[in-house]
Amino acid sequence: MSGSLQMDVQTIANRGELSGLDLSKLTSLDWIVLDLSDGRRSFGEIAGMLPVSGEELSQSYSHLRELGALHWGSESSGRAARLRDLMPDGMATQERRPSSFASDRSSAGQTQRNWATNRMFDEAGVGLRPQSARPLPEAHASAPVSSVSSVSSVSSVLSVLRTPRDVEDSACGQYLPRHLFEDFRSFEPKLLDASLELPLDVQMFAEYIYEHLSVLTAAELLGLEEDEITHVLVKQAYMMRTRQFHPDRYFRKNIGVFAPRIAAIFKAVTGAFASLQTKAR
Amino acid sequence: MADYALGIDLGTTNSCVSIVENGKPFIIANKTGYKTTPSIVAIAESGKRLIGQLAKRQAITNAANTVFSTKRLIGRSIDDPEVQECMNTFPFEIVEGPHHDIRVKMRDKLYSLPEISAMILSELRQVAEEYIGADIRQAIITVPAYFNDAQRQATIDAGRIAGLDVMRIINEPTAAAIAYGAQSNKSQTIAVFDLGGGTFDISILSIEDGIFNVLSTTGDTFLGGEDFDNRIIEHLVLNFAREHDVDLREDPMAMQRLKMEAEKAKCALSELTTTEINLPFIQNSSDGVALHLNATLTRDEFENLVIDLIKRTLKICQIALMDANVTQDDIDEVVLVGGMTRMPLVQEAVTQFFRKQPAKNINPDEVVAMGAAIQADELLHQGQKHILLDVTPLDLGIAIHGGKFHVIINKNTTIPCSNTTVFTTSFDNQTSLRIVVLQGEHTQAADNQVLAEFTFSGIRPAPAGTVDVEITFDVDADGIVNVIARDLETRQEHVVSIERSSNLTDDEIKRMAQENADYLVSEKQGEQMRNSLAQLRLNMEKVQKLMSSRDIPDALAGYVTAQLVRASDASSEPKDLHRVEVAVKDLDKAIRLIEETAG
Repeated sequence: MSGSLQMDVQTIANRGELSGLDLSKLTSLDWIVLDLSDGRRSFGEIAGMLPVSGEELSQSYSHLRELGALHWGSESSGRAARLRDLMPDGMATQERRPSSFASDRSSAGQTQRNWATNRMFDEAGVGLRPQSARPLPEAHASAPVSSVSSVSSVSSVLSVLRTPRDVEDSACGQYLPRHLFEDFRSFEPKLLDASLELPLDVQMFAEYIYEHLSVLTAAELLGLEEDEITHVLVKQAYMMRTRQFHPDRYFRKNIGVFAPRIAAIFKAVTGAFASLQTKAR
Repeated sequence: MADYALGIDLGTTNSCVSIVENGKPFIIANKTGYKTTPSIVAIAESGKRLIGQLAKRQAITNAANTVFSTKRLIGRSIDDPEVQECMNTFPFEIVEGPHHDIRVKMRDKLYSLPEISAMILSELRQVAEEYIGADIRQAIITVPAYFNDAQRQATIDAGRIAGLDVMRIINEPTAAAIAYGAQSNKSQTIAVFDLGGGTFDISILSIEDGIFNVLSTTGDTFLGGEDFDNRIIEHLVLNFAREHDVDLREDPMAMQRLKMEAEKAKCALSELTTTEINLPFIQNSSDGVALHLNATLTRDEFENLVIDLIKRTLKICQIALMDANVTQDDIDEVVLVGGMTRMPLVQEAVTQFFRKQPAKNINPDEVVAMGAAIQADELLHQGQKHILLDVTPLDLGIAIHGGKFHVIINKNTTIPCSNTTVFTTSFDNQTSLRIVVLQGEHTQAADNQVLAEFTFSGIRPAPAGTVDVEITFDVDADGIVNVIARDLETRQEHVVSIERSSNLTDDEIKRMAQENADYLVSEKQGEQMRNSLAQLRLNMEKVQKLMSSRDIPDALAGYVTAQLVRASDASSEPKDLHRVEVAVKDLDKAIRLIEETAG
């Protein structure tokens, strides 16, 4: 850990005002660190949550600090921190409920790519509104998805998923093959409903896949490129899709119109897996 | 409280209930203190239901009103050859029900098989509720992997009659795998060898990253511990006939005693190398002399009697490996399930076949219920620890022209799943299609089990082979099948949520559930009444003792005597629970008064 930064595991960072900053050079890790830095989590805690070395993390910290996107706890004057003080109790606690796909995190691939994929399906990821001049939607990130007010959150989901960085650099990397990024970015979801017990980003992704079931190839359905059809990758991709779309994930949850769609996607995914497995052999 | 969900292993001979508490599955002991409950139901002369150990104890003297092994019959129709065989050998009466289904008779009342299972489920539920101290409605019930659609549906019906909300039906070997796999995070391929009381199942699963993927499952619904018992019974009956020229099979009571003794001998031979079988006064000879059955059975003899049954299980294991596309060497661990796997020869055979020792530290009687409880807890709380990918155990399809079976969903397909095939007319100007939904593994339609039959009409008259009808099979996560037929020309649709002809209607289930609930309530009230009456009698004795031993002022004596008279009235005609309870309280007061005033 860099001594010049004067930080240790107990250091707590706050997000600063992001508007007016040049955020174009941020890496995925920077974005995640920014997202996790809520003025409560210490450096040590955040290090424990991320599958990266302490050195990488402190580099990210220093980078963000130089930019002015992060402040150390004592020098906290970030807008986020001030906002939080105004919030009623409970709303400000940044308890990140594990998102439905967050368990990917514990799975084998502790790589940058894998980690980054979680963000897309992490409702807290909605808090990452890079080009926004408005304050970060703090309460939004903490509240259960179902209680999020629909208008703002639906648009936030869209804005997040529309950011080129999110689609190309990370988010869809694992979920869609590269050549479909553009198509996904221009996709207009019609079913998003914040009152359902299904994270909005999952809804959007599910709707996209469902609408394209008849045109997606088996490989596309599993998020693989044609040259990635090997036994191991096909199986991995199927496991990932299972975690996303197995109906048991939403057992007796109120997921409305998505229930039959998610079931249909899972069935299609299973079929795609079977055919790719034969192909890979 | 929605915080608990039961895992119930509803077995052929024994049932077991488990619940997850503080993240760990526990087996709940029943009222008699055992962790497994015999799947036996009887009706006593008083009309009281006897379940489990209580029913088993009185089976000999009440053979005609004691029902067991109903899992071998559930979901089957009356003309099923297996049912016919049971009708000949079972001591209780099996008759045909209104849906071509099976009813059993106890004390002149007919019961459907789901009702019998519901009685066992109610008992297990009660035991669990008493343990937890709260109402529990949700449950997962396990069935043999090889159960067909009708058998699964009947099991769900049983749950509904017992007032349970059946979250899911899961396969027994899969449940065992969950209980086993939950102990470690290792990625591995395991074989679950499940030889229970009535059925044999083998499943091959891969466990990876919390995803339990069933690769194949197969089995035999008529191969289990009872067949081993029957071999012993046959052996004893034959020897007895040779010696005394008497056929014991004609005497239901003798057969019932033999059955229990054979089971005991079988269990004993898992530990000992030889066992005695003694049944005094089992029969009278033709000249009226009492005959006794005294026999010795060695482990060797027993093994010779059943060796072919064990060979049959291994043959099925071979099929399971082939279906899963793996060999013995790919199997990391073998998990034994079911009481029969305690038999040393079974263990040896499994060890030899898989070329490895079976996993230790697993109780073969409890592991299935525990797995069901873990899965129930997972679904209830979405702990996201694991996901189950189970498969269809049998080919599913329809009968086509020429009497062939056309498969639409192959066996060992991961569920939930669906598949569509386009069919066409086989005659000119055909306006309707008769669709027979089948499940089984035979190429000839007639050899498979009929799940449903329906007619799809309204087809445009046209030359044969020119109108297309699309048929979609859909299997949900419980393994229950739905069929949708669609005319591709008119877009007309016919959805069949398969109502098996041999199953109960919704109304019947509701009525049976009501009857069951009524019985349980009256039983509970009866118990309260018994408890209050016992308390009342205790109080009466106590007051009488106090009155004779203490010097009581006259006024108080008069009051107490009046209370005693009322109490004895209430207890002599115990109909009104409230009156009895009031009497108990009055006497409590009287006792206090005596103790205070006449110290």
